[in-house]
Amino acid sequence: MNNSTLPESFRDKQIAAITRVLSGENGSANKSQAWKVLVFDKFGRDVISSVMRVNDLFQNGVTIHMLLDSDRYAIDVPVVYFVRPTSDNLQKITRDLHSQLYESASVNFVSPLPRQLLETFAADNVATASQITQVYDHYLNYVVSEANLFSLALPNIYSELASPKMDEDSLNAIVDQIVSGLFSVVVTQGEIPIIRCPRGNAAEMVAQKLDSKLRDHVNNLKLTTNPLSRPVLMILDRNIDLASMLQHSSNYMGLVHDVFESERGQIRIAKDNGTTESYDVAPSDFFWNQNSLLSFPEVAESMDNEVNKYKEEYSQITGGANINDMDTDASPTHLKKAISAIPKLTARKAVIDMHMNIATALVDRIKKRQLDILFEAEDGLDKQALLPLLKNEELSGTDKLRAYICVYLSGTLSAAEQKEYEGILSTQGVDMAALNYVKRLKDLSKMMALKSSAASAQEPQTSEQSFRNFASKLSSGKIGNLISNVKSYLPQNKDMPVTRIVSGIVSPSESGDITDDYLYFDPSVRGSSTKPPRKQAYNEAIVFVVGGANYAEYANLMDYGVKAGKKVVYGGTDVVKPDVFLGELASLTK
Amino acid sequence: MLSVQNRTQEFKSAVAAQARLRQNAVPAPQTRSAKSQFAQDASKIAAEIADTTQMLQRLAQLAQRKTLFDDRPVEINELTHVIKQKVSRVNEQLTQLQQRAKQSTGQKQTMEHSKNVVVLLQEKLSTVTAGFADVLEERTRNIQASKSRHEQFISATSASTQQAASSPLYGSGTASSNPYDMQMQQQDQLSGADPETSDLLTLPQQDTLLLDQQDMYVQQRSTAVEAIESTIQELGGMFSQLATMVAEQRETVARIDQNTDDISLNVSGAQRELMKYYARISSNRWLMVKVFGIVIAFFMLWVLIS
Repeated sequence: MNNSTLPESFRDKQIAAITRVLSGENGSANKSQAWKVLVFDKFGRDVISSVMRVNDLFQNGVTIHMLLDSDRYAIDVPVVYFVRPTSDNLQKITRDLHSQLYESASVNFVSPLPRQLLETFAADNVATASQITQVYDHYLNYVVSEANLFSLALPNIYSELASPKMDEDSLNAIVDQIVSGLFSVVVTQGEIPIIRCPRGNAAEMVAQKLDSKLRDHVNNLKLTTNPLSRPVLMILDRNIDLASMLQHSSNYMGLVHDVFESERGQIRIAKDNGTTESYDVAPSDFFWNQNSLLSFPEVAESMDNEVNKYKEEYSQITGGANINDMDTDASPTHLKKAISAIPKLTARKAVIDMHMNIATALVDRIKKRQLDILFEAEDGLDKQALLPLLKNEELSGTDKLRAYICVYLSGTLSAAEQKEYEGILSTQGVDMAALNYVKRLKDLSKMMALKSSAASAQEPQTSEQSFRNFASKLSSGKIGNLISNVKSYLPQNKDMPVTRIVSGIVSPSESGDITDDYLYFDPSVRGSSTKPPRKQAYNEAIVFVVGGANYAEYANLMDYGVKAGKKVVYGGTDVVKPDVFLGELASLTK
Repeated sequence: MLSVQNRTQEFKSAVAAQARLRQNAVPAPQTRSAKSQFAQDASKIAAEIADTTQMLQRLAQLAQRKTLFDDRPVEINELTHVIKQKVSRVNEQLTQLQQRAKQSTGQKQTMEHSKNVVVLLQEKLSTVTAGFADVLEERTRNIQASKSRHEQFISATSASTQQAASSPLYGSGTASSNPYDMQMQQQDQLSGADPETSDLLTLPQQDTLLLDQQDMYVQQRSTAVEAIESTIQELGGMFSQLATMVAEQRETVARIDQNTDDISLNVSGAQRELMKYYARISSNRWLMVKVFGIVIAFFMLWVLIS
């Protein structure tokens, strides 16, 4: 229920923007004749395909969509290009125009086209310019993968920024890319935000550049801001909380992302016999929207509810159709109602079945990898729980290493225990490179006494967590059997470091001292760029993590947003899978 | 905040600047070859559907009126008739278009485009047809409701005078004004399905002229109901035909990146197959050279020996 009840999610805004691309700004006079073809590059495809399906394109009059790189043949309808502004793409479009593939062309760029490229493009198309009906810059160079979760689709930013081989130029290039994407997010969001960020890292660089870019934008367009509805944009650095990137999650979305290949709403499950099965989670998927942020036992429960509800409604329809108890007058209306209800029911059944399959595969993996036990051990409360896990030879090395790093970062292990546990891991041949990097980072931050290390420490927990008991229920292997006593096994909700920072900034009255020295930028005010932060409450927040986002924080933030009545949009340079992030960490010590 | 930036003007002026810079005569904008027959037909059908939609809106407005007095049966009947004809004509044309799209040969993309255009048109037509059916149903309901109101009123006044049913005045009056009515009456009397309607025929002589008019009105209405019902039936047939056509055309929730991935997969697959074939051919060539060499060698040997 978390995001479906919100009036307008970030994804809705992006869909509206993409629809504008497809329909063309001038709003074609005769709508019925507005057939067109859509041509995109790979990036444009990713942006569109994460929020739309072929049917949505159809509704907008798009009969075919094609990659710019593929072989294309003449079709006598207008074309809509949706590409990144690169000279390579422009050349391909020029070639299309010269061979007159389409009737007319509307050229749309996912991010603003530099003046220089525009001139080259114009010079190449002096003869064919009459075919071009419009040239538009959009601000859409980011991918929205969930209702309020966005990603700039820039992989490996964490390791690149932390790499010692990084030179000034490539650093600037990366920061510029991030700023360009973030600027688009801000534009789509619709209001000039106030920017907050911690001092002294890549996040500060991003914040500064974004501030000056927004400042130019405000000055050029003479925008005025409405102080009441302004959101706050928090640009954070991944180092404030590494553990959340590695920990095993308990919510449906996080588990799916961790265990299966999941990209842009498509979930690919590798079967034992070497084939992969793929499932498509559409943006309109009611079950996913309602349950993806809940913990897995809760999901199993609501799955059961949905199945029962479906059965009930189905029997209502089929039972009522008994000829004997129908009077002749009501029969046509009843029949008509049934006929119109059946397709909806079938669609719902298909969605439930799909999630049933995913959940069954998930239960299988949870059992195999003992993810529930790992999840519990990672809190660092029960140090005894970790030891048998590390000794268990059947578990994969990466899972064990992730669990150990989480516990290590929580700071509850004594030196002797550390030695013992690491000994166990290395005798099993686990690659310790990632751990070494984390250790170096921790030493460094200890030395500099940065507050970020305090933030990454986990708060002590008082609640008893019996997630493990849920595992014993799993052994039966059937979802239906999970339901019986599930309610009492739910993991206790707690705020993660990022959520604590967000709540500290959004409602400053309860703020501790973590966020007080964060930098403050207000792009709508002329003159000095940093003013002493005012204590101000905000209703909307955009949280951006330089170095990668994860589903655990997303779920946690959405939960906070519902509880505190705030609108939160969360994103990062990329949404990183835990195993991939572990690889990034490991690559830093090589 | 502006989420798009229109740079068409900037681009056009850049083009103009380039054209001036070059000095040489800019080649006149080439005119594209005329649109294909398919595109012309398709846009004709689309225009027709749009036209029909407008008419349907007008009809819906008329049909929704519930008042007894500001009712325009003639206009409604005409509109119903015209829309019905249009829908069936469009349906026919669409079937032809589909046939043509299937038969025509061309690039795969062009074929797919025409197929999808047909599907889009069919979808639109089916929504129009469904809307038409709904409007007609509502109209029927309204007519029936006002008819039953009417009957209540009339049967109350005429309950005492049953014997006037055979009045010659009545028969001649209606028959001359409305040719359908005689038939209607007969049907009603024959079937006996609606006893209240036969009540209507029992009119007191002194009121005949006044009630005659009312009666004509009622009869007209029931003719209208019949006509509408038959139209709905026809539409139902057409609608189910369309529905099956649309259903077999495509699956609705395909992923956008799915088939584009498939394209690149297919391309690379084809290339791989070609490479394999090439490798096999080239190895065959070596074999041929070897065989030829051996034959030559034996030939030389044979020449030398003999």
